[in-house]
Formats: sequence, C-alpha cells, structure tokens
Amino acid sequence: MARIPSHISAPPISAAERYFQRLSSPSGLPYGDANLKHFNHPHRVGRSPERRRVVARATALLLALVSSGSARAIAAPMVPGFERFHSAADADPAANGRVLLTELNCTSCHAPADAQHAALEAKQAPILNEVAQRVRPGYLRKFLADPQATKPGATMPDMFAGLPAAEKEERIEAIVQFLAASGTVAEEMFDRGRAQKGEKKFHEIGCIACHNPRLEGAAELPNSVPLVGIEKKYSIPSLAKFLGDPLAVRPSGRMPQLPLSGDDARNLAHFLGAGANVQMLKNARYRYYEGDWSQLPDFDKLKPVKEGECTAMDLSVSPNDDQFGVVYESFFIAPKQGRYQFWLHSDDGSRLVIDGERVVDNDDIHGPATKDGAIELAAGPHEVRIEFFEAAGGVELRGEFQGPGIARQSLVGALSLTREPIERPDPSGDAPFRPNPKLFDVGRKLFVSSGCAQCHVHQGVKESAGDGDAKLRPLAELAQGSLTAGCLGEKQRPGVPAFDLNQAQRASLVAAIKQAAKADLVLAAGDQVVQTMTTLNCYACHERDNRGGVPQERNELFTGTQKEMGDEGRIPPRLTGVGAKLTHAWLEKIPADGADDRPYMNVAMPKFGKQNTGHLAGLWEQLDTLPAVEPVEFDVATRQVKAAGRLLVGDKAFGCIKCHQFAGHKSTGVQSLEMTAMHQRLRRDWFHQYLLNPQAFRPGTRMPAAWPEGKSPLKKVLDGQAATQIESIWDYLADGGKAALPEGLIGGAIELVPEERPIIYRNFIEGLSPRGIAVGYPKQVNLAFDADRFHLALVWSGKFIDASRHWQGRGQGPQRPLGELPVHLAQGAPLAQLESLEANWPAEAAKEQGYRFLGYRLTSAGLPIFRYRWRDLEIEDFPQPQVDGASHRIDRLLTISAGDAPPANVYFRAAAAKKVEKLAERQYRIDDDWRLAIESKQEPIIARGGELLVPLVFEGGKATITQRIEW
Amino acid sequence: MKYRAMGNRLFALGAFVAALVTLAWVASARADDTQPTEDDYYRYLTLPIPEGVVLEVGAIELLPDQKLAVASRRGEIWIVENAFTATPEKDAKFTRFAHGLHEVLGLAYRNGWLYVTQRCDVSRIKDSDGDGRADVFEVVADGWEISNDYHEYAFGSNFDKDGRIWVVLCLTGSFSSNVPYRGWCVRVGEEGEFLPTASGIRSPGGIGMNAEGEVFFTDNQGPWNGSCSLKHLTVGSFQGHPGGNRWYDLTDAIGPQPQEPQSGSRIVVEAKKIPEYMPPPVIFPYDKMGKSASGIACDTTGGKFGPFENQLFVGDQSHSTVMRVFLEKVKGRYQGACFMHKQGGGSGNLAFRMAPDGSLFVGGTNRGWGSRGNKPFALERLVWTGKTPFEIHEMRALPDGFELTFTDEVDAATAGDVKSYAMTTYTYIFQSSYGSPEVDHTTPTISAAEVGADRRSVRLKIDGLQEGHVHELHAAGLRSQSGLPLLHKEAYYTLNVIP
Repeated sequence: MARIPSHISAPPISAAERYFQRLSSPSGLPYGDANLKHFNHPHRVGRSPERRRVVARATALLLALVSSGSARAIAAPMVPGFERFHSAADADPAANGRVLLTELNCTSCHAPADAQHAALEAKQAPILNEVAQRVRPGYLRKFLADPQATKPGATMPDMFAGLPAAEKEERIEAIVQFLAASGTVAEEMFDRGRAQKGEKKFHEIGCIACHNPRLEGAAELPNSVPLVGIEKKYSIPSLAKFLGDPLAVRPSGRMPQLPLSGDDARNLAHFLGAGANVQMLKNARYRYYEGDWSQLPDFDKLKPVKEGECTAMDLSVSPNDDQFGVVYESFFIAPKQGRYQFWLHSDDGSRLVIDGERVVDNDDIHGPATKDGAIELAAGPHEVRIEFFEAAGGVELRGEFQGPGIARQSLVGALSLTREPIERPDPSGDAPFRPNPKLFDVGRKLFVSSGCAQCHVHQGVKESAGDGDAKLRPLAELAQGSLTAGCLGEKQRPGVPAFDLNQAQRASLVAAIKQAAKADLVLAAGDQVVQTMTTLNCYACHERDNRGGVPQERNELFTGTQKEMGDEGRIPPRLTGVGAKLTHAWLEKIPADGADDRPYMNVAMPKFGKQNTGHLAGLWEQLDTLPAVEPVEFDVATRQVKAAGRLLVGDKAFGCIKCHQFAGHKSTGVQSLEMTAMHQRLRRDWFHQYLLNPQAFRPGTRMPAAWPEGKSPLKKVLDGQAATQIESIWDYLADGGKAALPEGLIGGAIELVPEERPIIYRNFIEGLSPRGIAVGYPKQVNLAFDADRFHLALVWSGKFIDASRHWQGRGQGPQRPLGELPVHLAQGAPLAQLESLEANWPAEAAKEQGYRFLGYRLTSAGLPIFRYRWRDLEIEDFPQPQVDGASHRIDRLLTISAGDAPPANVYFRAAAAKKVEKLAERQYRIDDDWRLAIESKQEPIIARGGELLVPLVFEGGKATITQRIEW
Repeated sequence: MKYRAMGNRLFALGAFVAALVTLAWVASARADDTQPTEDDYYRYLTLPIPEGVVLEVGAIELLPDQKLAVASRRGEIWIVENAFTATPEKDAKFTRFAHGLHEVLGLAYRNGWLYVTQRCDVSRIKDSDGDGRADVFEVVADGWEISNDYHEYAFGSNFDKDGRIWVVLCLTGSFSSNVPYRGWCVRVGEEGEFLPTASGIRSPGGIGMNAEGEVFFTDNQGPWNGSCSLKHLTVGSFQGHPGGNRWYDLTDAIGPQPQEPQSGSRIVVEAKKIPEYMPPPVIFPYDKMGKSASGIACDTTGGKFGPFENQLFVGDQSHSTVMRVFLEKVKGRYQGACFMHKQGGGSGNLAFRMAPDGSLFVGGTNRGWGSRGNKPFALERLVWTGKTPFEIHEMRALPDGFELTFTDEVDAATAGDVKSYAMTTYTYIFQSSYGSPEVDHTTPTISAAEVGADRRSVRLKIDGLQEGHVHELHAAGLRSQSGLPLLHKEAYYTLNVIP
C-alpha cells in the first residue's frame, strides 16, 4: 500500500484535517497498466482495493457533510508570505495583516483609501473568461461548495456559508452553468515519459520554491502553496496552457511565469497528474499474436491468440513482455478537413495505416524511436490500424497527431471504437456536464450578486472587479465596526464570505485594519518593498535585509549545474543593496520579465509582470545607495584604456575568464556570469567597490579580491592603481558583445609533433581506459596502449594528438586522436590459457584475471617497450613503427618469459574481429580493413571466424611472436 | 600619465554601505613607506624557466649534487642545476629528464630512483644509460582507480620514516567517490606495498610532514569542509567527508567503516561522536587566509629560514601566498594557529619544498583555477634576508587563554595592555553542501595581558574561550621594544580542545 500524499503544508493541523486533505489527493490511475507499469511515480501507485474502498468511503462521507451544510472544512487559507513571517519575534502584526488584506482580496470589497491604494491593491483573482476551457465543471461545483475542503489552503472564501444546503446547491449549480457553458475542457491521455520529464523539471526549475516537492518520501514543508486537487481541476492540455502563461489568467503574478517551452509545460502537466483520472474508454478492437519476428509480419495471415476491445495502444493486452504483436483497429474522427501529421513512438516496430494507406512506418527491431508521416483527411471518421511487435527488451508504444489548428497531442484521446465520437464522463468524478440554458442567466446574475464579480473578471458580466463594494464599508472605516463579526467572525451568516481564518490571521487582520483607519497613512518605501516582496513571495528565494531567503528545509532542493560554484551556483542572489547594484533598466526588467543571467542555476528567475513589479526599481534605488566613485581621467587614448582592461581580464593578468564566460565563450574553469553583460547590468559605483572587496558584498563568494587591500599586484598596467585598472575594465566591458576577446579565452590547438624521437602522452584517450598511453612516432605512425586492459588499442597514421583539451583549463574528459581514423585492434586481455579451441576467450577485465602493468622502458631511440605480468609470465610488448611509402605498419614484438615451468595451451589473441580472412601463409585480412602477418613458431588458428589465436611455444623459458599490423 | 586620485565622496549612506567605505577606500590608501614590509625579511628569487617551456609545477624534489627535480602538470620532469646560487635567475639551468607522465603531483628521491606520484600510479624512474634522460619507468603501485575525471588528482608525499609514500586521492569531481579509493589516503612502499590508510578526504592541495615526521595534508573548502584546512593523517583516521566510505568494503586494513557525520552539525560535536574522525588541526578561514590551501613544507633548516624552526609553511594557490602554521599537541591531538607569512607569489602557489640551506622552493600554476599571481606558471625560491621580522612566534592554548611568544622583545606597555588585542571566535557548519559561512560568532573578553619576564611572551587571560571555534586574534596595538608593529597582526587559532 503506497503512501497517500496530500501535498499540503498548512499550519499545524489535526488528524481530522489531515483526513480531509487526503481526500483531495490523486487517487491512482485508471489507465491500462501496461502503459504505466514502468513508471514508478510515487503518487500513482496506490491502486489496491483497500485504497479504493478508503477513497470511496471518504468521498461518501465528504459528500454527506457538504450536502448537509453542517460541516465546515478546517484548514485555513495559505498565504506563504504571511505564514512564514507572522510569528517572528520582531514581526509587525499590522504589516502581516496588510499582506492578508491583499492576498485574501479584502480590499476588493473594502476599498482602500487613495493614499493606500498602491500598497494595498488586492491581487487579481483568476480571470474566468476561459474557465470553461480550463477547469472541469465537476471541480468548479465542489470547489464552490467548500473551497477549504476541496483545496485546503485555498484563499477563496466560501461565498455561500450559512445558507441552507438545498439553496446553496441550487445557487452553485446556476453559477457553474454560467461558467462552464461557454466551452469544454480538452483531454489528453497520460504519458509516463512526459511525466518523468515533468518530474525533473518540477524539481529543478523552481516550482519547489513555493510548492511542496513531489518525490517519494518528501517531507511536507511549511509554507507550501497547495496543489491539492490539481489533477481534478485541470486536464493535461488546460493545465499545460495555464503553466505556459499563468499571468494571462492570474495577472497579479502570485504564480509567476517560468521559462517553460510548450513541451516543458505539457510535461509538467503530465507530471502533476492532470488528466490522470480521465477514463479512457475502450476505443479500439485488438488482435493479439505471439511469435518471434524481426519485422512486422503480415498479421492477417497469422492466427491471433486472442482478440477483444481495449484502449488503443494499450499494451497490457499482452500477458508477455517479449515476442508478441498486436493490431489495433479504431476510428480517427477528424474534426475538420486538412493535412494531419502523425507520430508513432515505439520499441520495437510499429506502423500506422489510415484508410488503407501507410502513414507512419517505424518497423524493425529498435530501441525507443519516433517516426512520423502526414496525410490529407476529410472531416469525419477514418479507419485506423496500428500494428506493433515486440521482440525483446524494452516495450513502448505511443501515438501523437496534429492537424489544422489542432496542436500536437496524444492520438489515443482522438480515437473511437465506432464512427461516432465517444462521450467522456467528467474525470472529476461527477456526471457529465449537461448545459441547462435556463440556469445560465440565473447563474450570471448570481455571479454578480453573490460577490464573485467583486474579485473575478468574466466577459459575461459588465461589472468590473475590485473597485470596492459601495454597499460595504471602505477599509479605513472598518475599524469603526465590530472586528469580531462578519468575515472576521467565528461563523458567517448567509451572504458573508467564510475564509476559515485562523486565530493568527484574524489578529493580524485586525491590526492592519486598525492601522488603515488612518486614511492618510502612506507606507514608507521600505515597508512597500517588504509588502511586495512578501505578497509575490520573492523571499522564498531571495534574502533582503535579513528577511527571507531560501529556508533551511528547502535549501537542498535548489540545485545548479556547476557544483563547484557551491551555494553561489544554486541559491538565488541576496537582494540586500540590489538598488545600488543593478542599473535601473535591469532592476525593472528582471522581476518583470524574468532573467537567465545565471544559467548555471537550475532555479529560474520567473516573470512576474511589470504591472506587479514596476514600482520596485524606484523603491530599491531610493533605499539602497553607495558612495559615488569619482570619475577616473586617463591621458591615454580610450583605445589604450580598453586594451589595458582587456589585458587585465585575460589569462595573462587577473584571469577573470577562468571563471566568467565572455561573449558566449566558455571559461576555462567554472562557468560564471557572462562578462559582456556586466556593463549593461551593473552600476559603475558598485562595480568599482565590489571588485575591491567582493566579500563585503557577497560574504563567502568565491570571487577573489584582485586588488588585495586596494593595491594592484600589476604595477605596470596603466599607473598601477586599483581605481584606474578597474575603470579600464569597466570601459572595456562597455563594448559588450563587441568587445575584443581577452587573451586565453579561446585556446588554440596544442598539437604534439614527434620529430626526432617518439612522444609519449599519458592521459584520457577516447576509446581507452583512463590509463591510456599514446605514443606518436616520427613519420606519422601512432598508437595507444591501454595500461589497464593490456592491449594495443588503437593505431593510426597522420597527426598524433592535440593536447589542448587536457593542457588548457582543467582537462576534463577523453581526447580523440588527430590524424586518420584509427584502427581499433583486439579488445580484451592478450593472453589466455584455453582448455580447447572451442573455449571462449575470457571476458573478465584483465586486472581481474591477474594482469599487472609493470611500466615501460625506453630504447636509446626513445621507443617504449611496455611490460606487464600475467600469472608467472612476464611480457615485453615492443611496437616498432615501419613506414614504407603510403602503407603504415607496426611490427609488434612480444617476448613472453615463463621461468622454469612454462604453461601449456596458452594463446596470444592477435585479432578479435567480425571477419578474419587468410590471404597467404600467416597473412590475414581483418574486417576487409587492415592486414596482419604473424611470425611465430606455430601456425596461428582462426577460431569462431573472427579470432586469430597464436599458440605460445616456449624455448628456454621464452616465447616470441611478431604481429605485423599494416593499414 | 595623469591620474586624479579617487576620493570617497559619501552620499546618503545606508547601513549597508557603512562597512564598505572603510574597507574599500581607506585600505586603498598608500601604505606608510616607513613601515617594514614582508620584502624586508623574505624575498622571492625567480628561476628562469626556458622560453617555450610550460612548467606548471606540480611537485619539487631535491636531488644529490645541489640539483632539483621539478615535475609539471603536463607530465614532464625537469632537472634544475645552479638553483642555489645567489643569482639563480641568471644561473639556473633546466634540462628535461622525462616526459609522458600523467599530471605529476609528488616526487621523492631514494637510492637512485625518482619516485613519481602521478594520476594513475606511483612509478619510479631512472636514467640507466647515463644520457640524462629517464629510460626506465617502473610501476610501484597502482591500486586505485581513475575515471576520466580531471579532479581525481593524486598528491604524493616524500618517504616517511618507515620508507613509505603517502598518497592522498581526490574525490571524483571533488564531490563523490565513483571508483575505488577516491577520497582515501593510501601508503605505498618502496617495493610496491599498497596500504589503504585513511578515509574522508575531499580535495587535497598538498601533502607534507612536520619535524616529527607526522603526515599532514591540506583539504579544500567544499562539502564537509566549511573552509580550507590543514589535516593530520594517521592510520585508520577519518578526515570528515564520508563520500569515499563505501571502500571500507574493499579493505579491512583500517577496521570497520566509521559512523557517518551528521550534516548541519559542527566539527566539535561530530568529533566527540565519531572516534575515528580527526578534526582539522588548523582551519584557514575562508578568504582571510586564502581560498585554496596547497603545498606543505617544514622548516627543519636549523634557523636558515629565519626564526620559525619546525613550523610548517603552507601555500594558498588562489591568493598566491605562503602561510605559517604553528602546531602543538593538546590532549593527544595536534592543533594550532596560522599566520600570513609572505604574499605575492608569481603564479598560483602549489608545490613546496624546503631545502637544507633555507630555501623554500615554491612552484606555481593557475591553469583552471585563477590566482593573484598572474603568471600562468612559476618556479621561485623564497629566501630569508637574515633580518628577523617582528612576529608572533608561537600561539599556545591555555586553559584560560593563550600564550603568545614573539620573535623579538616586546614593548611592555603595549604588550601588557589588553586594548592592544581584540579577539572574535567562530566556526563553520559541518555539512554535506558546499562550504559554509562563518557561524556561531562570539566575542570573548581579554581580561589580562601578562608580559613574561624575558619580554618575549605574553599570557592573554580570556573569558569565553569557545571549544571548537577558530579564535581570531588581532594584535594591532602591540609594539616591539624598538616600536615596530607586528609584521602580521592576525593569528587564527583552531581551538578544537581547550587544554
């Protein structure tokens, strides 16, 4: 039995509350198991009968409670900025209450005084113009009936609290009719591959700054914005659309826009479980076959093992994992005439046939692979046939399509068992939504009269949201009335919104309301900044003036691609003093549009929208100041000043480019902030002072102080003074992307050229173990010996090797040889004792077989003779290059010393290839590519077609073999 | 060239700026020319690496006949002659002895062989035919693995008193241990003996011995290392980073796997829980004392390198500095203080070797990691001018404070005045994520400063010593008998244990 997650982190809650919260959690998967059996998502494993019974009982109980109207859910609204800070020792209750005034939309009804308007503007509730396409009607119904029970932590109040149950239900039904009548929610089938990608994105890009992580065993973190019920509320396409542009629906930026591609948004929607409970009806006939094929067979000539109806492409119809085939037949209902493109993704082969025409051919044995094809279709039904076979290994089958004005989407949802489109029940568990035009107008009027329009915008009503309600007291006058009744009361009478406020929230609201009684009270700049950064939850990621920042419990969820940058590479920057650091344009741009200035950070800076953050730039500038740095005057030409700046940035001086990217070029160490953007991003005063003492601005930064104690170590650049040198860098960077590239940024090749004597290059060589030894001989013959696997791995002609990968920067990863394409020689240990020639060559790693590298000695001409030991045998392996015209040859002399008792049946394997062809006495052609000649006491033997074994014959304790490799 | 000095016109100042102003602009004012500088006492002589040779120094060893062997990260070994003359910058001669080795970070000479610690193994090499070029390359031991990761460095010591080389093996990517013995110290005998010795290593920058022959290495800031530090290697010890602990499964040479430290804790707390854990004897506070601790050399020259006999000199690659370390044994374990000694290395100081004549050879490179010294590589010789700097000679912990000794007689008035000293303490979070800020700051009270009878020592009585904290001392007001301030006024004592 899997754990049942609830994804919420409201204030301390009782067992009963927890129970209700869990009711709203995803309830497992209705799809065919075959499509899901490899997807180990923790939230989708609870499918046992017990689980279902629990859910059924709980649902019944909940419905009973809701419909009786006698029970209220117990969770309180979750405003992360309030919950995180309200209980701090130095917290100002009025400031905390102000956060609630906007986040709970109090000021939508209770208009703030003019002076306070800017600071206390209510957040815009979701715009409901397209709610019919976005939110499932069944969810709307439940949510309106009891927001807190449906989504614990909801900030929307119950607008019908205290009404008799029947009346409440009637009103809600009418409003749902009004909201849901103008469209339908598009559905799409769950795709575990996408969900896995979405899972990664969710935990990397920053969702977890505000929401709870959704990993197996993840703790429920405080101050998480709840996602409970998201899978019932949205379908995959509708959630993907919302995630792609949340500001279109929620313009107040509390859910900011992350930089997501269309694919990213869809993957996230799949991951978040949207549409997980879409009941995919049986929409295909299948025939199931068993057999061992390497291509799709002609299924019509075979006898099926079984047949029946299923969801199209559901592989759970097969009881086997290997050696089977399925044909699905169904109808594709083209919504309109036009050209349609189809994709089939499968492992192994598959094919899509529409109206007898092969549209996609993805045949043969292969790993997961996608093929596509297109066809012109008339509107209406078309016969579809999908063929699939699986030989062995992985099993996958998915289809997608796109058409005229129809975005790429899952094919399964568009297929039908008959020529008629299928009718889908509402996945939120309710009966299908049936429009009732009689209720539409009633609903529209109720939408206004119940107060919905006070906060929400809908194109069907003229009354605009958020101007305050003339019938209600303005904010400044609220304190004159009772502060324990109405919205603030324990219970609400009919017509009063029920927010389910907890005690702390009530107390803070009261403090804020009392403060707001001074209608002319204007918030100080600092308070305004705190208010905005709290309501937008900037503090979830950023610290400013010792408030906020990534909390300890979320710290490890913030990751980066440059581990060695430490916290600077993964934790968003502190914003203390930011107003004196960034230019005005940047202060405006980053919160408004999002940013990617720190690409090494996985968490993205999202877009909050200028309407929500535009005022911050000016406030920050007003609050954060630095002493001005006087101008620096040069009496050399600007060109020379910039040249000095360029010198200082390059590897001959301060080497900024060892860590900073420059004009898109990678640095040689960690990949820190792009230098050519600095002039645009930063203020000159800050730049000067930061460079002199980075630690004062960013405690713990890895950015070094290049002018320790304000002194330059480079006395000869300009006048040797810190100020002039910093100014020269500033001037140099003013050229931005057009700046001349600094020295050392682009390393040239370091070609090693053997002239008189061989060059030995020990490093990471492509195709070898990390203990590779490459040798370049004069006259362009080269080899690489593997000192961990004990074979001559590569020989090649032409240029030897480029050492720049390893000799510039830190030197990560293997280098491939220069020159001609290398010949790959026999892999595996060179010698083995075989009981018979039929025995397999030992496959274990040479070291496990007892091989030990002893090193090498150099001849007087500098040629290496490699030495290694195996059992009691000591081997000298002496390759000698021979150049004769265009042909390249290495004569490899092997001397094997055995001591007193040489072993029997020991062979040297001279080749292990696909094909060994004997050309003449002791001469062979290998793989039609290179040639081999053997000098040995005993004739070599071709074993298993591709191996050439040379028996070792010891004389006086020694055996010698010469292997001539020619290519 | 005309240049108008930058002023510091102060405009509206927030609290945010106040500290900066003093730090940034006051410090940039020219130093008082009348005060002695480091150059008056210790000077760098630069050895002339031949044009066209890239000698990114990874290790230095002394050979017979006043020769040096210098190994490079590019895998070459150069023999340097005439490095000990008064003008080595003109006299020194470089000859290539070997090439084709893999990032050499350890050299040790014994019985005609040069033992080379390189990425893949410890090999020994020699020139058997006398043509000046090594021609025999014998693997001594290669019992660890590598995985195409540049960070998997191997630093090798000189021979210890039992005739073994100690090799510290950096983690994979300096974070994890993907293949055997990454994150371990192993010992290698002259004839190939291979002994897993200690675990818990992260990213070493150098290895060396003190005068007693005990082995120390530097480990760098990162996971489980809040700041860079000097660590003491003993057989069976655990050095703090549990990344390589899986390899206890491969060997029973040093007993069972120790308990894992708890992330977010403090060194002092975990040291009490985990008996194998050897807390670092000296922490080099991040940025104050560098950012990349590196080579280690001990002054066993009998006074030829100045008054710091038997103290350790430790490099910092990033700041291009030489630091000085005083160690004492308290309750059976080493701990002590570090001081700045000499700044201004030509490149990123990495390899150290002390010669009996009082020359500290310093080899540098800044490939891949930047350094204050702006040359891409350098080979320098740091020598004592014969003038004794006024310095804190030793700093010893007492149950109720510290005892300082000095290289010169102190001025009793300033030395006896508690206002001449200031002390703060702090430590670092011991955690699995990268580095740590300074945390748990305290300000103890210096209640008395008692000048010793010989005027070469001062006992500071301190209320509020903090076990497990770095005690940062500023002795700005102190003067020598001739009125000089300390050449380096700061000392950082890592008080793992209060005596």
